[in-house]
Amino acid sequence: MAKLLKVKNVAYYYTAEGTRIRAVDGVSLSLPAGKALGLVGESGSGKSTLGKLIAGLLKPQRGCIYFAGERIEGKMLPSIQYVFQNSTAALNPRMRVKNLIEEGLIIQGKYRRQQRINRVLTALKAVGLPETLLYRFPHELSGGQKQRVAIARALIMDPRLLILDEPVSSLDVTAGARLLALLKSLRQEKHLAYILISHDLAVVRQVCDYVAVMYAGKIVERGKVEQIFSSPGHYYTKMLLSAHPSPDPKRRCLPKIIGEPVDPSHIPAGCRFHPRCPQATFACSHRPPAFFEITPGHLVACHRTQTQIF
Amino acid sequence: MLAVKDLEITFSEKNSIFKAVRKVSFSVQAGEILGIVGESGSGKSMTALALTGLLPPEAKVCGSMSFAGKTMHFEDNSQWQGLRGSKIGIVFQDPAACLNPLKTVGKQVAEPLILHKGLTPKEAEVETIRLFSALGIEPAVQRIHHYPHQLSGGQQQRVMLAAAIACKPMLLIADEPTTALDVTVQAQILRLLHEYVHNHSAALLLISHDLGVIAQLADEVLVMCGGTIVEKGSVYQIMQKPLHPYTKLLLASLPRLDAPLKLPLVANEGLTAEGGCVFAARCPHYRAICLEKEPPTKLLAEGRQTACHIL
Repeated sequence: MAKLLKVKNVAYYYTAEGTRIRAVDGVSLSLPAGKALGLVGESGSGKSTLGKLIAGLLKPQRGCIYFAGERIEGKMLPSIQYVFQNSTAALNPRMRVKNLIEEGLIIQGKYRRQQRINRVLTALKAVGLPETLLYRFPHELSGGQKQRVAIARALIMDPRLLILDEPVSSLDVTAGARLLALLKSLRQEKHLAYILISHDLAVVRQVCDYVAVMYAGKIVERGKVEQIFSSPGHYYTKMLLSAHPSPDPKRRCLPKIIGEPVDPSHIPAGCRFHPRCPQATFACSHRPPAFFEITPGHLVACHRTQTQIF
Repeated sequence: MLAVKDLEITFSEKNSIFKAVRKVSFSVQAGEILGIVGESGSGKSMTALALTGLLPPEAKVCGSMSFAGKTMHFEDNSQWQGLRGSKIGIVFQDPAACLNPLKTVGKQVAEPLILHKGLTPKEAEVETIRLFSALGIEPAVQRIHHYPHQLSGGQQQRVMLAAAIACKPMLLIADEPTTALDVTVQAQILRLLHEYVHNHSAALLLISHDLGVIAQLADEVLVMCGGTIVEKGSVYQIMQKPLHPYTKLLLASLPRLDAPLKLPLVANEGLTAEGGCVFAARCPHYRAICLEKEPPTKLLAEGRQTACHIL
């Protein structure tokens, strides 16, 4: 299948208080049209930075990004839209819902007033908001409604790829479930591709076809959703899965988690995860692991997985 | 150990009255973990604030609580002075906002020890170092001199927990203690909470919107909606056989690792249920009576209770 998005070995470093932070350090991935990729990892793993690189909000210092066959590093395209994590902060408090959704079209200058209004109404309907909200201000909306306005704002540009940064983390569980259902049906209707950034594996599980697990600026495991969830290869993925609290009290376990999310200004040598890995060996602390395909399409960057298979 | 009776919190603004918590009663034994679950606006945090005497001054509060053999009335705020930080420990959701940015974390943890236990600053420092290493804030000897901004979110929450348990409180209240944290750090903090309750036979009031967190830790669960308790039972009863439609909705809305989400129901647009059941406007099974009359609390077998007309 032709790939809609191809990311090749991109890196983004920045300097904060004199230390160089390797936020994204050599990441490659690809995504076919109409599919959804979940980017998971703890805070500081570089997942949001990677999303911003793809959206063109940041320009990589190294590597290439191809979208529909064209190089797009540092370019913002109407067909790639970013829905920010905190919708309260992302929506201008002094603009009404209609103007917020319409803004992109006005900047584009392609449509007349009436056409724009029609498109706003279509977008509003697509995200399941009633027309009565058209002239409200963001502070008059609930968290779920604000998140929907943010999505409508992105949808009105007719994107082919939507980057969703933690879309449900700030919502109540019931509003979150409704938003996830909306994201699922929107994707089918409009044949959209998603990159869903989340620290919650269960959210990714609900919406995505593929998963990429990031740790300290690198992807450590990627594959299809079923592969990652039923047979995780990397210890980090296993750690994330075990830490997810199950609502079933019979399956109570408070797993012993070693260490803390990595500090991106002090990235360990060798495998970046080795200080927290229960199975780390000498090789792990000296040599960064290469990707290894354990089953077709399921790649793991771990020395131990590789030796256990042979 | 703790029994709350008829707690009611109201806010009045010009001519409108808003009841944040309506006639809530519950109790917790020593060594027990009581989970309170509900959406935002369900009154769960207001309940926690009332138990610590930290409600905003404009809140009108009635009811009483008996704690450690003493009966206290919520109207009288002064009784909490000596309890907060010594017998009742509190951990809030946002450690970055709760810690004083201008004081070292060591000083902030030592404060209750000096104030309530009468330790000298030197003794308090030694105790703080001991607490820090017990809670995994390493290297403890250096960490006590750090300011909150120098710590990660997980470490900040550990500091909050250290300050809360410094005086070995009998009752620990944790209001969304892990909401802002990564899932791995969440597991670590939950483990520490569990260890504290287990080792000191303390009671823990765990407030969370995440049924997963509640299921991992709680013994008993209160489900709150619109300021009332709609269901109460053991964690097994609530998670495996929920009765109230609201509890069912919460459980069905939780994304799970093992199963795809089946979207339950839509809200009943435009329904008003003033004076009726707090959940009627969103309930898929509502009847006429639900809109008119508040459902009475029914006591069921095995200490279970629920408030629903349909059941």
